[in-house]
Amino acid sequence: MKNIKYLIIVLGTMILAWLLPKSYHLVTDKASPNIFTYYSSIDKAFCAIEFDDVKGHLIRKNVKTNKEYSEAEFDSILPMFYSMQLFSDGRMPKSINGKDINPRVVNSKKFFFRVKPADKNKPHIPLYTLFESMSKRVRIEMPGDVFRLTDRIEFINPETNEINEEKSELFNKQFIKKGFQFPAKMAAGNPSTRKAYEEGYFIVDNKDQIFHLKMVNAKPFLKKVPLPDGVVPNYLQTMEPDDRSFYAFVFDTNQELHIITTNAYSLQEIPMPECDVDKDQLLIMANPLYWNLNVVSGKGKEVWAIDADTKEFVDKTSIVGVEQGVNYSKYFLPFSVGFTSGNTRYIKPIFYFGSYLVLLSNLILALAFAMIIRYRKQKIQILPVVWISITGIYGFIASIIFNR
Amino acid sequence: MTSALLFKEWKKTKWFAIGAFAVGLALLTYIFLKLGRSFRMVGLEHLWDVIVNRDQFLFRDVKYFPLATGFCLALAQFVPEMIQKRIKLSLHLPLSNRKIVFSMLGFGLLALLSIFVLHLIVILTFSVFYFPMEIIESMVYTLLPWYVAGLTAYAFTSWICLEPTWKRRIFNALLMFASLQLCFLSDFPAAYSLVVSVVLLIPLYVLPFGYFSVQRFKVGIQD
Repeated sequence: MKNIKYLIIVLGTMILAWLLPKSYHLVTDKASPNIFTYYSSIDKAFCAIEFDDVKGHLIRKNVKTNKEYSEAEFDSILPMFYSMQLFSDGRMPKSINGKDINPRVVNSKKFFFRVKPADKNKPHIPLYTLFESMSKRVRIEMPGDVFRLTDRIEFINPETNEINEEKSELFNKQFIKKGFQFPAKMAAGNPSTRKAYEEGYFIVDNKDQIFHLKMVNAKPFLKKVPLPDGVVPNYLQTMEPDDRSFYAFVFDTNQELHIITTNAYSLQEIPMPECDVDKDQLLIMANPLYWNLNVVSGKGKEVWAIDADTKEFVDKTSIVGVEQGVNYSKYFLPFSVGFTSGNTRYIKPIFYFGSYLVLLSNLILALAFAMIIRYRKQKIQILPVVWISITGIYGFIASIIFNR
Repeated sequence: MTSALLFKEWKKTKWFAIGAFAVGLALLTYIFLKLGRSFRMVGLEHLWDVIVNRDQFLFRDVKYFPLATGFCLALAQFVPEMIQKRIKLSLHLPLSNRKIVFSMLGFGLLALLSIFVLHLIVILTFSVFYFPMEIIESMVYTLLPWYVAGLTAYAFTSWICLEPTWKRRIFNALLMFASLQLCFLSDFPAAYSLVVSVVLLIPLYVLPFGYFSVQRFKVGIQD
């Protein structure tokens, strides 16, 4: 009987530890400003668009000199970002930094690449669509099968739900020949028909080697990517840039970023701000002159500009996250429980602990509970008092309600 | 004596249990017909692509069926007991109160579990013909928290029904609504795959609560 009562109190406490902090944050949380920041190839400095609280409207400015620009001036200061507008107005310079600028060059070198922690940390069904890389058709067409990687590669026909043994064997021989170690740790590809060309998958095998898998004229193409010493892949994401200069981004276990170039699969390191792919967001805004690398973390936003050709560091700036004000919750909420997070699509319990100062309020609540029990003329129970001393306000509310 | 008690529970709930199973089958038939149409219209390759690469779940219509079934079965089983405090009669049987209450709760839980297991078997039998193991595994991880929500709703609703005071019933109901949310935190397929074994324990954790309320009833706590 008593044990059941304690089960109810424990459940009530845990539910309150989940919902009370959630309600507190619903009322007090402030959005961190995600200020647009881009490296100007004209000013040779970062420029930003931000909301001016005093003027009450958006301002466009050079971050270094604080010089403000009108909308049209700003287009000219960031010609690579506003290239469409400048080409349309006929205001695009013929060359910038000695580099010829025309729509073909800009379009082939301009891309956006974003990685969010939830892209990596999510449940996925390990079935992959491998398109024909040399289909001789303008559009990429569905191949009529998907593959799985277990202790071998198997192609399955969705219409019959049966394994295509012949094709599986053909590909499997190639995997064995190239020294692929099953089972695979991950496979990165872009299974979409809405892309300019198909480069298949980059697969990490059981020995952390990366292999490039393609289907060329219905035959397997498997190539091992030579990795420099010390590079252990943690996460891969493929991309099909218009200039076909690289295949994929590789995040290694040292939190460094590389691209697998189309030059004999050599890896090129991309300098970037500190970025934990499990917690921080990375956005790369590339143009023919510079790559802008934005890392958004709990601390704020760090932006680096690197040279598009040499990938050498050029400049950096940072935007500190908004002060969340005094977090009063740490004085009365001893801990909180969460089940969802922006960093993962998985449901799992996450515990956050408050300040040690909360132990004082816990003791006051335990004392208050003892007095209420005396007032109710009930027998003093040690367990609920200890429980309140540990769990504070959550245990107190649950014990007051469910103690009898 | 226990079998007589179980027979009484069966008499009370048989039409509801048969009805719930039939409604569930009708719902599944509707889903299968809808899927069959999709197979014919867009083909299985497209459907596999949508499931694997666009994170779609084909059995989303099932989501609240187990919850509603669990909730209604508990009402069908325990509201008659609480009308004019008829449960007093059951508690006077020559059996321990613990055995009486847990027989009643166990009967309800098993009846519900049987309905849900049969439904899952029907879904899985259909699925093995059209989908590979990888998709079926993801499907099971997505469906299980919804079916667990049904069992949990049963355990909580029984507790609320057996509770003798209205004030406490309100708190119990609040705890039920908050706890049930734990099974519906995400619609993303297989989002619960890391914690599914813990989620399965929730109904077993809540089931004894009903006995606590019966004990409160026995010692004379009332409005």
